[in-house]
Amino acid sequence: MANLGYIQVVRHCNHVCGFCSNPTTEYTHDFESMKLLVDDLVERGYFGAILTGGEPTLHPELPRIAAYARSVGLHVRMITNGHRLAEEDFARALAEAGLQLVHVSIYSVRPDVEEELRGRSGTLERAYRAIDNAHRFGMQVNINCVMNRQNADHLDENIAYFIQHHPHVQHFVWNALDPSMGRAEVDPARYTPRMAEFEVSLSRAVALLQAGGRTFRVEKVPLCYMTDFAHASTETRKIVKLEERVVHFLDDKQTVRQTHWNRRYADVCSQCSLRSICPGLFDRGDGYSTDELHPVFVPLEPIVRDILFDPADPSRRFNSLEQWREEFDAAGDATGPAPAPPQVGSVTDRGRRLFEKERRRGLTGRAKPSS
Amino acid sequence: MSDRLLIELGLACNNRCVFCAQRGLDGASHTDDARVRAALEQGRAAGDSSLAFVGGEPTLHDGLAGWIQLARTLGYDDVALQTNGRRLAYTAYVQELMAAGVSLFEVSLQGPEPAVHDYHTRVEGSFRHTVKGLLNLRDSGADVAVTTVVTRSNFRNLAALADLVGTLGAGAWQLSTVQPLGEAATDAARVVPAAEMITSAVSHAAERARNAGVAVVVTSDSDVEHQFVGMGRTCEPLPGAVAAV
Repeated sequence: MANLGYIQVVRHCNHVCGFCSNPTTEYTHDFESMKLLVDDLVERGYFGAILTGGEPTLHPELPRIAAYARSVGLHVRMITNGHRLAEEDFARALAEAGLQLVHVSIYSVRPDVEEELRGRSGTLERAYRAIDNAHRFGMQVNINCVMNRQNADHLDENIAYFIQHHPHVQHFVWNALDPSMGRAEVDPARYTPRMAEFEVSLSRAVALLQAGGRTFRVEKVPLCYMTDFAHASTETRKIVKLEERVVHFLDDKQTVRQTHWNRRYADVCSQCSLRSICPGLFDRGDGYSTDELHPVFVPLEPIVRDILFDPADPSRRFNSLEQWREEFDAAGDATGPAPAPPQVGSVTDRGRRLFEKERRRGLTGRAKPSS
Repeated sequence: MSDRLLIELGLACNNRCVFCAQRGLDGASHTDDARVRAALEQGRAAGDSSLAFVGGEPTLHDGLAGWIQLARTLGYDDVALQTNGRRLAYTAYVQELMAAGVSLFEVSLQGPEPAVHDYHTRVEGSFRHTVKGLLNLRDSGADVAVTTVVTRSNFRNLAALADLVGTLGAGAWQLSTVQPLGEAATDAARVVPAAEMITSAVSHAAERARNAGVAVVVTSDSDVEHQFVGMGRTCEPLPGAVAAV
């Protein structure tokens, strides 16, 4: 199985995104502690490791742990804001260390929107340099984008820009904002969208990618808001393929192995033809509402076929739909029951003051608003 | 094309549609015989020659056939009935209404299969009743228009519904957007689709129905009449509904 494990190598960051779901903690890693986590993924038989954060490029031993992960056979990836990858020498060093794929996070190609979201001026040009550097040194580049209230209406504009200016980027990942794991709790009205707000521009963006033969994934979005490309839901693919993932958090959660998704559903979801493969609503608090969920009535099997028999997927496991059905039914409901509302609200008054101070400091010389 | 008189028979209904514009509205669940007769007579005196009985669900009223007959006696040329069609599953009742003088049955159908339709009506088995009613109308040679409200949950099923509408012998099909009125506004996030999301599906389904010989009317928020607001209000009839059958 193509399971991927996440290792948060740091939790601090040089950007101050208003909706960060993994803000700074007091924990740190050294090489030896990261090596243990890499070894853990190898022991689990995982396909790859995703080095993430915080901003992983701020860890002084990132090239070394990337090289180690590669040496033990993992496919090595990184999620980054691209700030340091914009430095040519640093990008070359990571490529030589064995990093194979970078997910560069860009929320909006409108400079003023990007600055507002990141709490830092001038980030967009560095991110563009990062994706071109990564490509130049042989690393595959994906673009990651958190869908939020401020970019929800122009996701397609972003894609059109990348196709025109960075045509080597072939794969894109959208995440619905995590409304209850960090700073988004501070100001949900500013950042947390209704799903209907991004639904139309996401559909347009997908159409652009499909027309150009590019690929994509969508994360944390219930299938009623991505019915026509349900096969591209990261969680649905894992549910269908009976996969899991491990996240080595650098906070009190520590290691979390996800085999069930424990999401929220509405009562009407029980009537939906896609309920058994839908990850539901990703929300540990009240950021999204189950009132937004609705059943759809489309055939399930074509979606499952697209996932199981995807020629680009290295993890092909099932030989027939019948074999899949047997194992899927035997595995039980991986989407799990609706969880009790968990405790959220880790934002302290002190943290809130530091956040506002950092954003004021970072947003100097801002771009003019987009028309 | 002239306006037609709406005779509203109260809010009572045996479906509980997810898009119902009447849920939560103030109003009587039923009306009384004297009030309906007076409204029919006043309409004629004002020169109306076309009317529709609407609800709630008009077929819940046992006096319906008598009121239809009275309308004809008073000289109304066109008498339409807006219904969910469930009671039309009874053949004898269809014959009674036709004998009374219904000139057009406007039957609401929300999907091409039980799961889709019954989700929208929130009544298990309602699809079976309504389709049986439509088959009874077809077998009786009645003039029929099907009405469908396009929602987040059925727009991907409209092509299949177009085929079913043709098979059931309807002469016209009206597709309309959800009116977020009354309690229906509460569920708008769950029910109301973005216009851009449904445009292609609606166009495709409409073309499919037209190719099957069904006249198609598409109404949107901007041009649909807010119906169901009270006795005596007038609105446009379904264009082409009569001519097409």
